[in-house]
Amino acid sequence: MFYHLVSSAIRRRKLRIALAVLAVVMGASIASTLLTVSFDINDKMGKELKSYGANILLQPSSEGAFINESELYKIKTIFWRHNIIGYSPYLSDTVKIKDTEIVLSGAYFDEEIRIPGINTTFIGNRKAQEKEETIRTGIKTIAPWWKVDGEWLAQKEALVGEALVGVNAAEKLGLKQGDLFMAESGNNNETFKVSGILSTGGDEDEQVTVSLKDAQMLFGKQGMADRVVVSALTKPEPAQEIDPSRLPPEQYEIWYCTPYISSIMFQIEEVIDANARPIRQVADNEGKLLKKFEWLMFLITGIAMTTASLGVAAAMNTSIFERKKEIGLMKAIGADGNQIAGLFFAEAAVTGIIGGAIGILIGVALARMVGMWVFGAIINPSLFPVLISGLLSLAVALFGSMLPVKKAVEIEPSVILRGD
Amino acid sequence: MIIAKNLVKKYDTTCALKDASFTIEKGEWANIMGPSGSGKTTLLNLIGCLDSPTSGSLLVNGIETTKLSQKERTRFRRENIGLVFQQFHMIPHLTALENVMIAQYFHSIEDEKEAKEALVHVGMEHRLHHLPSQLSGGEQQRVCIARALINQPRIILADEPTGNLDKTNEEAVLDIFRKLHSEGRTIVIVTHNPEIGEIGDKIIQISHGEVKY
Repeated sequence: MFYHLVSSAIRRRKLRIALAVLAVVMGASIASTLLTVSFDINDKMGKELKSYGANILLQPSSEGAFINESELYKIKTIFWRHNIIGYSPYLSDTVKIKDTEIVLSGAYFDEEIRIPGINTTFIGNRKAQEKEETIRTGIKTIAPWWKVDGEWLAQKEALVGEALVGVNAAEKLGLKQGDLFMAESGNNNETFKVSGILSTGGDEDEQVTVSLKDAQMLFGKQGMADRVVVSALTKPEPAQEIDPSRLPPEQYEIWYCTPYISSIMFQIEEVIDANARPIRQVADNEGKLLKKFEWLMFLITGIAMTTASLGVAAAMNTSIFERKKEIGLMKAIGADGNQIAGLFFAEAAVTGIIGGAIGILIGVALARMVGMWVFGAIINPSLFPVLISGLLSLAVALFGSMLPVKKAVEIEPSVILRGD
Repeated sequence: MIIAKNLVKKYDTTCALKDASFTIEKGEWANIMGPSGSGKTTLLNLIGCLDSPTSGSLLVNGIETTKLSQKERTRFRRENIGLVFQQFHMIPHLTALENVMIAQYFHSIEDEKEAKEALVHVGMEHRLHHLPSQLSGGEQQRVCIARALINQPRIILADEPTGNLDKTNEEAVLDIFRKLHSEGRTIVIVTHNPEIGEIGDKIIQISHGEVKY
């Protein structure tokens, strides 16, 4: 009888129900769009943010030591290897150019690195085998905003090394694109051709930047780097600082398998003889920005759901007003408040489920479109936001019905006899 | 047994019922009669626990109903009272059988066989699966009586049960009431109809909210 009463009430009031469903559809579609986007956004936006700088700095483990360049590929073999967007080793020292002391740095620009196949990782009992691959990394990957007036360094071997001269250094040295200059370091010297004038807004504006190989040659430190900057996709760290050595095994595993900057640094230190530390400013700001973005998403979702709830309340109110006599009759023949409330809440739940399902479908499609427009990538729906949107739709329909149902419960059965 | 003492019902400043006192014995047929607006329906509402009085005492089947909460009144009503209305008041989207079964559903559990028997009892066995819109006034009223009887109430309250019926249907409905009365049920009917007044054991005359009997 309960099912019959609910289904026939819905069938008879298709328009009213359609209005309530529409309200839920609108709320659910906005909620599921935003939740799907915000769920996927950490990755997508994290990648965008990574284009504003590296967030991990590797330094030699002891004073006067260097990092071995040939080991650096191992950064791309750690557990969170897919979160490593790129890295670049640096080798810097002071050189003399036209009798002026200036810092010359060597770095990767767009270096091809071979990563050997990994076949020692186990996922459960399965051996995860990854084939050998080649990646391109360097400044173009981790600092794509560098502005070069002229040409980036060519990858091809040339008789004369090429250099990017910082905008302030170029002014100081009186160099322009195409000029040749000699850099002296101790007894060594190298001739470079200015391929472009560099402006980054950072220290590089005061320096000369060449390829790592040229710098190693000039400084006589083949295969060495004095620091490495790494750009990794990370998740904001929890509020309290984590000391992995003090974590119980289960929590340690969770921490290790979460892409916190601390766990990624820890994993890098496991494979490379170097000290890793976060480049705080970028890492912190990135986390804060993502958090703010998430809050904004939740706020809009909240507003959308509240509006949907008001829509449901309005539709339900009208429905209850129209059915005042029917409710009075049910009460007169013995229905108590809970039975009346049950009927209307069931109706609201159906509204929530139908509206939620349609809204989620629309939301997932919208999320994909937002992904394409804003991030240039497809956002794939995941179960969690879909589930949350579904539950929210149901909650909104039930919550929106609360006041109207309360009114229905309070209808006096005597309306039937009074005839009002 | 229904015992009313000094029942008063006020709606804002209007006094619909003034110091009404009367007794209806178990198994008695009492007719509440009086002109329109005299307070008949108000009195029926109070006896049926559809409303509560402003003051006074009302004992129904030994229970002081004026002291019951709304929830308790609902429970008391569905256990003890069957209601029949002038306007029939059926749920339009349920069939005759379902309109009877809904009272079972609100009371406890549905029993289709029992609901069919109740409809057979009022001569509606041929219209079980018809919607109210497919039934005549008399047929609708008979379904309402079956619904009022389905939970075996000891008291039947009817508000102008024949008010909207032609002579033939009026007679058929009154026959059912006679049968119920002979089975020992207490019947209270609000009516304008002097012919019905003659059938009952007792007439409670009401005028301007004052009971004279």
